[in-house]
Amino acid sequence: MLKNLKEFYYPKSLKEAIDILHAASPRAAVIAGGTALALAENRTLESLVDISRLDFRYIRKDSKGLVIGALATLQELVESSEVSQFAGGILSRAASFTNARLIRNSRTVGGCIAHPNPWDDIPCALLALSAVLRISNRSERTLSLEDHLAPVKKNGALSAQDIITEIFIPAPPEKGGCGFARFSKTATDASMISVAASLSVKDGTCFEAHLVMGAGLRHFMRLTEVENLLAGKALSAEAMAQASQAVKSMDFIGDFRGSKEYRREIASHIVHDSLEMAWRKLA
Amino acid sequence: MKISIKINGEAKIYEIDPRELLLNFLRRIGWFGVKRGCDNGDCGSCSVLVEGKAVNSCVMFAAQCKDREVVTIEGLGTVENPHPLQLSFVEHGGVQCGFCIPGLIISAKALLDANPSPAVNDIREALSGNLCRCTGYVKQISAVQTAAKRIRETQKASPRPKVKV
Repeated sequence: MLKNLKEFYYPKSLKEAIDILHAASPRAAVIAGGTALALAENRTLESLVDISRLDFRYIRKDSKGLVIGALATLQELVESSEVSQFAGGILSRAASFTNARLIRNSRTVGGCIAHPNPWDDIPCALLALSAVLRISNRSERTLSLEDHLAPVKKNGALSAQDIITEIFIPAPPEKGGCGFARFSKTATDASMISVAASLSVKDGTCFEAHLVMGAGLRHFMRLTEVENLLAGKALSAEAMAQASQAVKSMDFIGDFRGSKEYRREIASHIVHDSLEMAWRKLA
Repeated sequence: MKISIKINGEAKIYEIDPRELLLNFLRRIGWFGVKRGCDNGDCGSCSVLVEGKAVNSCVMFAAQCKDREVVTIEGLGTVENPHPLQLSFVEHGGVQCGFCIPGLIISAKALLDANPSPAVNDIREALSGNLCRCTGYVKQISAVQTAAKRIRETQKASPRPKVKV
């Protein structure tokens, strides 16, 4: 419960929202869908700034890539034809696995990023596609999602007065394929392991591989070992199966959903599934 | 704080606590069709329509609904004049203990508003956030199919502009 919450603001513009945040900081926070804050335990917050009525709720495709307004809900991502036709549809696929529809109707993409859960599938897919955040404060700036989710925060990390307004996803290389796979106990349960992959091919060999794992580790992580094993190689079922084994040495987490050992066992299969999906898209 | 919310067709000014969750607020003012199940966003018993979208009212502040329209199960039909979904749930035996049913019907209503002829998979997907521990879902899915068919037939028989509940 937000025990000391006293005020709700409904700003009419982004500037007004930021002014309120500056005036009330650090006792104010932004709220959009509300799924992260409604059940949060926090005694510091005294006011919430409801930005859900502002106008950055859109999904559009341009020549450079896909642009998603931070207020777009996860369900809008699932239903959008622009998203399902982009990057092999892995974003809408990942969105469809994130929570059940009742939550997806409220939860926004920006909220998913501002309050990241390591078991969410959306940030995992966005990371593999090298998404960039557009952030508004007194001035505008951009921040890569990778930097935002890095366990050690760097300069320019998100502050309490910042508002994520847009997520830009550069179009993946033309000769490439993307895949997303995950493992969970039920269709609507959180992932135990999720893997997003983006492969690009040049002259029949893998030019670049970009893989991200979520849910099974302490935080989202690039699978650099797998990437290195694939780079420069001719893609084959064998090469992918071999590369997938590299994740076995990683430091998995264990919880009530599954033990460390169990996750280690399934992780290589999920990596393989995501690579295979990306590979199929290539052919 | 005072905010205006339209609930089941009636817009009114309500005095709310900013900390109050939508579920608690709705039950406080007497809409008991909104059920408190898990209180955690997992079970879907507390589903309501906010601006036509089915959402969990337990993971949302009442204050977020300022100037918005909320529909609970009570806004759909009455005992004398039930909504086609309510009727078909009864006919198909889709209701046993009944606790999850308001939420299920709200989710089904949102689905049929957006997609009048859903495939079985669409129905399953739309009801995926509503847990039912009695019936095993099969009868509820056929209930939604029957209701969809009836709604389509009535609309064909007397086409009229779509009215929001």
